[in-house]
Amino acid sequence: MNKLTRAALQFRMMEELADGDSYVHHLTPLAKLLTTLFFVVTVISFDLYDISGLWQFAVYPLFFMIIGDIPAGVLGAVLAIALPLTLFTGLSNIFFNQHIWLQLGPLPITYGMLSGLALVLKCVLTVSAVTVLMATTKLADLCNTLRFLHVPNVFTFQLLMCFRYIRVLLEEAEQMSAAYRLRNPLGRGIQLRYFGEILGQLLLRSYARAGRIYTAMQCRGFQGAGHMDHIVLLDWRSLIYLAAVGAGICLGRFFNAALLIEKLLNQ
Amino acid sequence: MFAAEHIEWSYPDGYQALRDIDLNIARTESVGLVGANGAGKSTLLRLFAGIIPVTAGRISVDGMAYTPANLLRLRQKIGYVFQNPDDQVFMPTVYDDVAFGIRNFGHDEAFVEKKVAAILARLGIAELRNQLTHKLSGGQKRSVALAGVLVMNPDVIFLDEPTAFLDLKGRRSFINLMQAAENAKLLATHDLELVLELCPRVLVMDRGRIVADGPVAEVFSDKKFMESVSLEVPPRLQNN
Repeated sequence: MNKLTRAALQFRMMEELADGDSYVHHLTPLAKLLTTLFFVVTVISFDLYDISGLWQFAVYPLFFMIIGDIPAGVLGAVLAIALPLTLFTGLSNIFFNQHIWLQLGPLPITYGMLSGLALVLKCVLTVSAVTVLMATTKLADLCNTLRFLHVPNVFTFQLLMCFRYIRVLLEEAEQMSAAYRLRNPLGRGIQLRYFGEILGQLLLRSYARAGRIYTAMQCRGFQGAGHMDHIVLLDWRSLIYLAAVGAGICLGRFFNAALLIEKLLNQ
Repeated sequence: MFAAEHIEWSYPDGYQALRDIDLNIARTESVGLVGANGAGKSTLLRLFAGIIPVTAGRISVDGMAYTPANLLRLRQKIGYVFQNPDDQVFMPTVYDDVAFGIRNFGHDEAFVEKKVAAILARLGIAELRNQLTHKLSGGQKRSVALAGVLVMNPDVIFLDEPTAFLDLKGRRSFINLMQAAENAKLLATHDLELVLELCPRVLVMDRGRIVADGPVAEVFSDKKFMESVSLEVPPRLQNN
């Protein structure tokens, strides 16, 4: 399976997952959005060098991945895109901040290492939380909820259209790649001399197809936004979820489980 | 019910694609639209579907003219089935795609559920309800595209090559479905046998004009005329 096909499959998998039937899927988009935002803000609020308090937040994405039937591979694929830049930034912290925090025998643990690790942890936690949200909520429902929260329509519309366009782009790229390979069976990948032309064609074809799809949407009454009249904001199940998860996040922010366990062990 | 008067339309480069088009379609009437490639069939359908704006002439549905102000109300009255179902079926699941149109008009979810279930059953694709659209075959996509338009119960439906991508069985199902549908229909197609079966009346286009408008058997039997517009007499009529 080539990279394009794999990328297209992973992309479609998110749409497939969002159509699931677990407890998490039946929660309202607003409840999931609010908890995700609260989680992200809380994780980011941790001090630059605070690692011990961050680990316990892994419970949130892990728990909801299990009950939401979200495969670990999906998270892995998303992290593979998000992590490299964070890793690079984290590594540069190690290079620029070499003040020693702790000497473990011959190995110095610097503040740069701490902040680099904290950065990576924060990235993993926040990306995981957003992945859980995307894998358990349809994008159209999410956009309608954002509009209800008075996020300008131009942003939600762009988000929806970008998502659709990425799908179209991947499908067209797959088709062109297959057509190329069928007439270039001995070659490995697209030759450099054709790359520019093929890329140009890809952009033109995907743009044209996206235009046709948008026309089809307009023909069925789409005017840039879905109807908000029948959005269910919060039901009893979502209220309980919101209260429980919100309380859990607050507890995690103010009580460091690792330090508590250490205290208990020392006692 | 549907009326087009003195329609003219040119592409931005000046090429005149449609010339002096006049036609009426009565409620529940099925009309075929045939012509050689480049005759202007698809352009005419796109104009009727409101995809391209009217620049000369007047088009109306039940007296409501095609204007930007009326466009949303018109979208409830007209349906358009694209030639390529991949351009029309864009939601992740069949249910969501069929529900897309009626949701845009503010109906509650219970109504949407009822309508979608009914149309899927009517088209014989109820088992595809939760299927992912990218896993459908060409024929299944065509059926879903049709469902997405029929569910809105438009007064008039414009269909562009509706039997493309369909096998013989799919084609027969489509014909049966169209025969039972009470919406007015205008079918642009190269499939002259389809027109013979479905449409009592046919329009023939040539170089942007409607050059014939009449009973289908009468128009198609005129060998000289058909050849002059780069068409052929359908096999069924050739021995008559």
